[in-house]
Amino acid sequence: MSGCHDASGPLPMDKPRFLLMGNPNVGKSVIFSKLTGLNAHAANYTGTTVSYTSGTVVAQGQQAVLIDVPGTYSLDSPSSPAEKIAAEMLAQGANAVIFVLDATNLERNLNLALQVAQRGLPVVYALNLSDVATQRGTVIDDKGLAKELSAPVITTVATRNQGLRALLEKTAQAALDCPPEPLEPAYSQYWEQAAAIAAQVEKQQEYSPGFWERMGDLTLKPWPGLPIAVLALSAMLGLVVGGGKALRSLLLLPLVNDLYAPWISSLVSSVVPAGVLQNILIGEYGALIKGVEWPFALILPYVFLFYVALSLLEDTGYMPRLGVLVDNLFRKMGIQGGNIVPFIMGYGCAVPAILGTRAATSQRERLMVTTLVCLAVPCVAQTGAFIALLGDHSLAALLAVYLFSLVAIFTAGLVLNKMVRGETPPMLMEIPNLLPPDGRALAKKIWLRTRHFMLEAEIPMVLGIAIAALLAETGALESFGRFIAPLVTGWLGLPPEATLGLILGIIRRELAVLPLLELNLTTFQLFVGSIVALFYLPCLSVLAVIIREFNLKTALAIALFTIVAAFLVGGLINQLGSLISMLMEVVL
Amino acid sequence: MSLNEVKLCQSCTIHQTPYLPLLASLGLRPGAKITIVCRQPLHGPVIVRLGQRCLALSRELADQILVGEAA
Repeated sequence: MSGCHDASGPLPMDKPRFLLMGNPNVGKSVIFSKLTGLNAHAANYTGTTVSYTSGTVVAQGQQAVLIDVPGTYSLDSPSSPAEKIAAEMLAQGANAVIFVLDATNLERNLNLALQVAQRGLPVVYALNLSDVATQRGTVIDDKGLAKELSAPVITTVATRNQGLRALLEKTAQAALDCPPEPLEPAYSQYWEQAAAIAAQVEKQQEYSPGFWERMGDLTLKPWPGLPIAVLALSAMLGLVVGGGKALRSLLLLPLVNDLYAPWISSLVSSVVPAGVLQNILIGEYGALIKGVEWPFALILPYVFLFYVALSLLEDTGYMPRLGVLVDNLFRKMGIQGGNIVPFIMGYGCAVPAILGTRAATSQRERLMVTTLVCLAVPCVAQTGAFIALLGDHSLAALLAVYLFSLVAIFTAGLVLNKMVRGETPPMLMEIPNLLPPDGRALAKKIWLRTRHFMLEAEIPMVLGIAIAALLAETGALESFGRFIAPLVTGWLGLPPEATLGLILGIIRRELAVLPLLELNLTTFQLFVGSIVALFYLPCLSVLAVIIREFNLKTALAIALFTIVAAFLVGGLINQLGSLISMLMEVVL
Repeated sequence: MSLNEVKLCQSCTIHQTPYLPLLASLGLRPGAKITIVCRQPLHGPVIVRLGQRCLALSRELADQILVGEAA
């Protein structure tokens, strides 16, 4: 190895450092995930990898760190925080750069490639999505391209693992060779040079568009795009709610109630004498019973199926199309349509939704979307709880809760639009190709997300249930219940025991709902309780993320806002309901 | 004329764009040939095709993009 490597730069480099770069939506994350086997999420909506991911790869018998740099359109004029990060990472230097080119959009991709080639780092190009390009009659002369770029070009189909090994080996080799001279700019503008190279190496042949390309166009137009959107979202809803209910009642509840519960009860009662401890373990709020029944039988099926639906929407490239279709509606609230992505994610869990708002084009939108998701978007665990609570009593009440949620989002959006200062920039985004998702990448993603959610949820849930059992057994719940009885019984019309949900709801959103299961409430009370829980505080981990992403003040403001909204709206519904029933009695 | 005045399915060539770096990075620069794919109702964004890709841009932005007949 020659002495041409000064490992300079602010980062310590005990291992070679490879940067994976390219435009957004070119399959960069899929390449990363296949090369490292690590849990980087791959989805093709704009800006999915805002925070960067790194992993270890082995090439030429040596370990190296591969860094998945956020997708960027330009280095010279960064237009988002993600693009700034990308420019900074490149400025810090690397042993080699893997630059991913989208073969279906070569000219635009070359524009950035030429900017990177200027930096004098060894670059290896991956000509990705080459299968899609071939389907669309685009023929690219890869040898000619390599000559124009004075660097190796490897044709790849990342979803099918084609060319990836060769790509990694070439990169490791390039890192060992002396760095090339910076590519001389042949034109005054990068794009002029990009256009010239593309004209040189690319040929377009006649072809007839395939199913996915035709669907890609149809889903963008208001007709039939809007009906398709309604259909697609209804199908997803049906999958999650219907499928979840089936999994729950046919498989998981019998498993827990008929097999696990009797077994653990007899086991514990043979070891632990009857008393407070036994009650905490297997009593009314027994941590060993509810701590298994609630998360695994009531919540898990919905979490799993929600992530199936979400990952499908993401990996096909459908999300940005949805964003375009709802932009006019969202703009009334002063936010861009692209923010539909964090909203939909919020129906899974608010934590990734809030992290996802990083892709928003303005800080104002981030704050608004975060507040709305915290206020009125029930997470999938809470949805599971609502279904457990209302599903068997009254389907109408269940639908009413969700209708209420939508109305609340829109109303609060209109209000926030007036309150939150700043401007929302006009929409300008690229629509990625609509593509069939890669089965293995999809399965991996669903598995990782479900596992992550359950690991994150299980410990606080068991803890919460243990606290509940302790509060109930020691009588502390009763005394606290008496303390806020005027609010709970008087204003909300719920029994004093409902206080438990309000205490536990601080820990997790669904725990605000589930305790109501055991109280034999009327349908109306269940509805009021559900509305309170819907608006009530987001869970502890969400507040922690808000503090991290914004600041403590914002988190406290959102917490206060949601508590006030919960009691105000819940109470108003109760009072209105009581008034109506009183009037009815008088009339009758 | 502005991009908003171009009829559906018609092609045009961009003459002038407002100063917005992302526009140029996405390929919307003077000389580029684009086709109007559709306009979303209620003053929603306009979708244009550039090469094999579609781009969505708001009507305000489209108003500031001056175009001429396709070369």
